[in-house]
This record gives sequence, structure tokens and C-alpha cells, in this order.
Amino acid sequence: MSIDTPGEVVLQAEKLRVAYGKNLALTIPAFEVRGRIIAIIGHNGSGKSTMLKTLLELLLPRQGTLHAKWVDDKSETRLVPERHMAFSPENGAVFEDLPVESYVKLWCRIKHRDSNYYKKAGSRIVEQLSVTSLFSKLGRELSKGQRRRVQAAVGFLSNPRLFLFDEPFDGLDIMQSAELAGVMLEESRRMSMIVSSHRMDVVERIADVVVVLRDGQVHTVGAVDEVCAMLCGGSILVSSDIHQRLSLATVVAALKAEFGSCLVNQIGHQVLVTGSEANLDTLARFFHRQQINDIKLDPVRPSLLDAMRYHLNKLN
Amino acid sequence: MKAIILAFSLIRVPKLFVSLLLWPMIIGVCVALAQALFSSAYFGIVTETPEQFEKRIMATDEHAWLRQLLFGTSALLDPIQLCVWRQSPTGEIPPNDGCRVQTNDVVIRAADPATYDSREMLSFFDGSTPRLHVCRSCTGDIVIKGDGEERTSEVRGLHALGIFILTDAQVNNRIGTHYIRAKADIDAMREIGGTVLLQPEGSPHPINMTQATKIMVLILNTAAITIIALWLSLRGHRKVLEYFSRNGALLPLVAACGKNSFYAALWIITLVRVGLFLLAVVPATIVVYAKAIPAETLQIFVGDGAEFTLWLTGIAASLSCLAIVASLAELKQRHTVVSFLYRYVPLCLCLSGSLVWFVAVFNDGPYSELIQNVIAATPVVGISPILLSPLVSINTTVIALHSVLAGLLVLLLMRLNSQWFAAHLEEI
Repeated sequence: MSIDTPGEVVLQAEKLRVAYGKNLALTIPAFEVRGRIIAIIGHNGSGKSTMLKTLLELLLPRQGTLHAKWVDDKSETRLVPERHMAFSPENGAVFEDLPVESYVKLWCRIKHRDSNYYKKAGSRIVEQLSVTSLFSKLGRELSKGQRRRVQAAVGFLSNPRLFLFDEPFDGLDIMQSAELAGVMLEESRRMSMIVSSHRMDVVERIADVVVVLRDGQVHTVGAVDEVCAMLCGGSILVSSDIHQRLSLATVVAALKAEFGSCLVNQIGHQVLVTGSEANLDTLARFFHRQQINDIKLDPVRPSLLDAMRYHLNKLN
Repeated sequence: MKAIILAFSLIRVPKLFVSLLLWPMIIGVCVALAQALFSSAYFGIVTETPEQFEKRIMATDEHAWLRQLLFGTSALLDPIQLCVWRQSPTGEIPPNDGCRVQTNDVVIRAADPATYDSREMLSFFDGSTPRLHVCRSCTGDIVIKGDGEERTSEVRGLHALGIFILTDAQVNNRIGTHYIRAKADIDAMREIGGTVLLQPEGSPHPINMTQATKIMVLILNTAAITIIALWLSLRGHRKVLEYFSRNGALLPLVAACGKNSFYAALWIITLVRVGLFLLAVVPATIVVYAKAIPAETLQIFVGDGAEFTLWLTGIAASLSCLAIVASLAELKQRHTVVSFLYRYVPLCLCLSGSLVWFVAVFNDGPYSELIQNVIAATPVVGISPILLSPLVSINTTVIALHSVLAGLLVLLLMRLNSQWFAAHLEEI
């Protein structure tokens, strides 16, 4: 039974510039975000991994600072990577020629000076992530998903204040993603997490704050709903009567032609239109012009996936 | 403290212990001990007195394992029996029943056995085979064909070990006495010239050529141990980094332990590797040297302790520069097509320096000594003069300058490299 730890992590950046050679990868003039599970999303090359590595001090900023603090009612602690953070990299890091148990023992020895920590206080996490069944396997015998589970387990076993995940759901199937997400939610009672991911469906479920990066800059920050609204304005669900079902394909085509930058998706007998250009008024006028009157327009919360798709479409 | 925990946590993983520590150390120790034993054997041979030589030769014969293998005894056989075959109406037959061809007999095929002069062969094979047959067409384990002035011998081992009879005949004590006489003659001839000193025009000190080979063996031995230690050290660094990065564990480990602790752990592993190697090799080498090397040679090589320590520091520092430049420059530039050239850059610098230094040593120009000293004082470029210092007597100040400059260069290179690693960690 885990005990809730009060407080949350605060990320702060100031005049931050991180570069690879001559290429500027991250530019953040000023930024502050706080939460238990902070998701960082953005297109490939937007600077997500760079942000994590800078926070871990694996990359040195050319200018400025980026750091994390643990803040609760009573105190404020600056988080130091080697003392307070754990990192699960994009390619699950498990030694190819070591049995998983030896690898877990190694981490326990490094972090707790007790190679059997995973059998004692850490046994819960090992069981939760079903790592015990992998103990006898060598690193190279693990699937991508299994490697992720092992890496996540050793991270959690470190008892960090802040756990940074780089694409944790990459390579996991629906069930495995759900399991890992469940463990992350459970563990977020004890620690904070920063999750860089392309899996909007999972991010939407677990994150309480989302940071959207675009071309190395912070584009949007906020709760999932706020971010969705900021990215795409909103979504409208278009429903029609039975006798008009056959003409839905025509309606979709017409909507796409009229609202080129919006996402238009047919969902069963309904159509979902996402994008700031398509609000209730513009859609009502559009259907009026098309002489389709028995239509029902319902504003709905856009999914993070649709919001990001709309956002990235506009970028392109 | 964290670095020590990390280093020993890594070493305690059996697989990592074997690949990072045990295996390279076994190879290093084997190579170092093999060359120490080789040197010891070399010194044992070149420095033995005629009495020791005679004793060794005779001992070889007393413990003749070949005869033990062939005849079940290491002692010389009874005097050889000569069997000259003759023609009978039924064909060629041995002179008596005791002369029938048996295992390990030697047969000489001659056109006319009756007139064949077998004295030389009897002398050669006496004690190494029981019988020597002279016949026209008989056969045995060893068959020697042809006689007369244009003799060509064809030797065939008809049973697998028969061929060893010839080897035994070549090393038995009768042959040994020839060696002993020859050795005495050669030693006497060498004494005539006395100690040979070479006085190059550009060098202020003569070179003791009589001791040169022995000193060179010692120099090469010491340099080899230094190079193996450096190899263990650099390979240690590269291997750990490559091992972690290949497994994708470098970044999580560095993040979990901190860069400083991680680098410190790498150094600890490296030091443990080199320390264990030196611990195994140095005492053994000292024992071998003390037992096998003549005091005169050792005196020339070691000089007084301070000079020797200075020399050792100099070559260690300079070889470190050489290795760091060669290994790490290659790692840094590994994406370029010509990255392999970095391996040879220090070698080329070293060879160029050696060439100019040799020219300066053998030419008595106005700047000859200055050029020699400048080259010898320059790290990497002057490594050959420093290595040869026990032989060519380089000025102590020059060696000290070389050591200091090389040491500073090593520190600078290490600092630059650790900064580079810190900035390019995820590229490794």
C-alpha cells in the first residue's frame, strides 16, 4: 500500500537555449509548469527528448536554465538528477547479455546499496509490472514492450521524486499500454512524472498538464481540455436522420472542401468536425446553403489526438 | 563514494567482471609474463659462462626426453652395432641374426655396402640408435640414401616417432662437445675487441654497443609493460562506454549517478584494471630481472634510482599522450571517412622526430645538440630518444622536461576529452 506524497513538481525555464552544434533545438524564454504527470507532446524534432535530457543535465544548455523543483505546502526542494530523478530512455535500456534479474540487482545496488531491494520494499512494483517472469531472460531475448517494462520497473525502484519517460508507450500493445498507464497513475501518488509521447490517447488519460512544443519552442501549456481548446478551438458532432445517411459521404466531402484546414471524420452515422474555423454558426450556415436542414450540431470536447492532428495539419 | 559504489556494483556483475576486468587482465598478464620469460631465457643464454654452457648442454643429454620416448631410457644407448649386408643367392641378407632390421634402426643405402665408409654415420648415430644397417635395398625407420661426393640424403620416418632419432643424434652430448668448443672460440674472439663503444659525431656520450642488445631487450620489456597498461586503461574506458551505449544504458546510468560520479567510476574501473595488472606483472618482472640480468647490464639500464624513475615517468607520460591522441581522436572523428588515420598521426609524429634526432646524433653540426635536446624534450615527437635514453645517455634535464610537458599534455587532453564526452554523451 503506497502512501500519498504531498506536493508536485514545478518545471522552470529561463532564457533557455539548447543546441546540437549549430542547430538550435530548444528556445524557451520563460516557462513554468506544475503537476503530477506532465506530458510533453509535439511533432518529431520539436525538442521533447532534448527537454528531458537538458533537465537530466545530460545536455548542457548553451544559455539559460531549466530545472525542476518539488513543491509542497511546507517546503521547496530543487531536484538534482542523480538524487531525485529516474529516466527511461526512448530505447529501453537493458543490457543485452545480462539476465534481467542481474540488471535489476545492479540498479538496486547502485540506488539502494542493497541488491535485494526488489525483493523487499520494491517487490510491489516488480509484481505490478510483471517483471518477475522475465528475470531469467537475457536482455536480448526481451521484446520491445518487455524492455520498456523492465526499464520502467528499475526507474520506479529508484524511488525518484521525478520520473522522466521518453516515449514509454512506443512498442506496447493496447493492453500493455493500459497496464503501464495504470502503474504510472498509481505511482503518481508518490512521485511526479514527465512523459514525452506521441500516444495522445494514453497521454490524455494520464496527464494533468500538457506542454506542446513546436519547433523547439513552447507553444501551449495547460490542462488537457485547455490545451485541446487552444490547439483546435473545439469539435462539433454532426448528426443526421436515417433518410439522409446515404448522403453522409457527400456531406463529408463538402465539409472537407469548405473547411479545408479542419479535421472532418466520419464516425458511424455521425461526422466530427474539429477546428477553430468550424463553429456552430459557420456550420449552420454551411448546411443551410447545402439545403440540409434536419441536421443536429452538438459541440463536444475534442480529443487530444484530434486537436494535435489539427494543429500539425495547420503547421504543414 | 557514489562513484566507488557504482564502480564496484558494475564489477560485481559476473558478466561485466569477466569482460571488463578478468579477461583483458589475463591477456595482459600472459603477454607481459611471456615477454619477461623470453627475456629471461635470452639473458640466460647470452650471459652464461663456458662452464654453465657445458653444464646446460650435458644436462640436455642427460635428460633426453626423445630417447625416453623412443627407447624407454634417457641414457645413451649401448655402442652402435654396424650391420653391413651382403648378397646371397636368395637376395640381400644381414650378416647375422642379431642384425635383422628392428624398430628405430637406421638404414644407409649404398651402391656397394662392402666398401661404404660408415665412420661418419657411426659417429653421428652412436648412442641414438641401436643398429646402423648398410645395404643396397633393405629398409628401416630411417632410410638414408646416396653416398659419395654428391650425396643426397632422403630420410623417411617409417614409424611415427622414428624421425626423432635424427633429432636425438643432433643434440646428444657428442654434438654438444662441438658446441662447447665453438662457444669457447666465439667468446675468445669477442674478448679480443673488448667493450665496443660507438661515438656518434653529434653525441656527447659514447654508446656501449657491447651492451646495446641487452639494454634494448630491457627497454622493449619495460615499454611493452607500459603499453599493455595503457592499452588496458584506454580499452577500459572505451569498452565501458561502448558497452553501455550499445545497450542504451549510458544515458540512464549517467542520469541516475551523475556525470561526475559516472566518470569517476570509469576511472576507478580503469585504475583497478591497471593496478591489478601491474600488481601481477611488476613483482614477477623484477624477480625475473634480478635473477637473469647481469649486474653490469642492470646498472647501465637502471642507473641510479632517481634517473630510472624519471625515465619511467617520461615514457609513461609520453606513451599516454600517444595512446590518448590515437584512441580518442579516432573516437571523436569516427564519422569521418579518414578517421582511421588518427591512429597513425602520433606514430608519424614519433617516427619523424626519431628520424630528425638520428640525423642530428650522427652529424656534428652547430645546432646538432640543440636539435637533439628540443626533439627529446617534445612529448610524442621525442619518445624514441627518451626510450633509448639508458643506452644513449640523454641529459637528465631534458628527460625531466619531456616528462613534465608530456604530463601536462596528458592532463590537458583528459580535460578536453571529459568536456567533449560531457557535451557529446548521447552521440557515443
